[in-house]
Amino acid sequence: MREFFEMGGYGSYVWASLAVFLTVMAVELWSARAQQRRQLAQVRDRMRRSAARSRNTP
Amino acid sequence: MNTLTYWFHKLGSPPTFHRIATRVEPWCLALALALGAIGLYGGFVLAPRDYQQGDAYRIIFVHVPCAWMGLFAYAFMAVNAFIALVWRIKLNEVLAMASAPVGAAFTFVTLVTGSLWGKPMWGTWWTWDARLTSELFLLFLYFGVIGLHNAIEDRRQAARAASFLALVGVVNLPIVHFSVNWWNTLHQGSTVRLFGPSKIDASMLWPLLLMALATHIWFFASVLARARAGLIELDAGKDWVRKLAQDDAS
Repeated sequence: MREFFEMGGYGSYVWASLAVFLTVMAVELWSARAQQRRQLAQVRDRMRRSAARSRNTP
Repeated sequence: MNTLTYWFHKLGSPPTFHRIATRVEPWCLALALALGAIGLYGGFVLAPRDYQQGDAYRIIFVHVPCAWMGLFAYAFMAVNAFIALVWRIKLNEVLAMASAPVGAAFTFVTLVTGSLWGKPMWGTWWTWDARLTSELFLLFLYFGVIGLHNAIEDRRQAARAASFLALVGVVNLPIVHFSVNWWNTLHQGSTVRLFGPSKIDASMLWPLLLMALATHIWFFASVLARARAGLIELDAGKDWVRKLAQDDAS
């Protein structure tokens, strides 16, 4: 097991590469999802404001 | 109108595309994760050690699929940018802009993992040779497209301007690809070839190809997610988006 993690002395390079790959992919997907949530929240915000405006105008 | 044209028109309409994308996206993600897990297991556990590079060569299983994706994402973006500029189809503008951040992410991973591979094998993190420099330029092109798209207020005008930049940047793609043949470089030549035999053993090739497949599917999942957000932004005032926003809140 220890031998596996050492990767013949290259462990730090190999595992760092894998970590960078997985982290960037996860962050990238998370930011895509966040963008979607943000856009929908903006639409709701605008709807609320326009509804409030039409209530206030006689 | 025949069935194919009808289907094409239907898919191009934002609400229909959004509905289909919402349904397809989780399946893409699940498939990409499953294939990626098998590919990584094959590459990091099952594949034998390289006779020359030892275990350091295992970086290939993330570096090369990401490098392919950096180029593939750019080509995908350029094709959509071309369609967006010529036929002014809203969906293609959105798809082109959606693929830029994903391609940038893949290119970034390529550069970092390449650096982590270069240090033990070449003795240096970075060198200004053709392959590395053109790959860095690819990342800057992505940043340029994203930046230009964010800098212009009108979303459709922004997408068209950024699409134009994306098209100009296409000249960099063959430079990245052929740089290892055209110039003397530290970077090794192509290992996997479309034409002719690959210079890699089958035990190492299958995890590599599986990782390539997984990253392609992951790319489409992420592009679909970003395209959905882009369509919502463009159609913010339309009924289908209002309904979607209400459904999402409840």
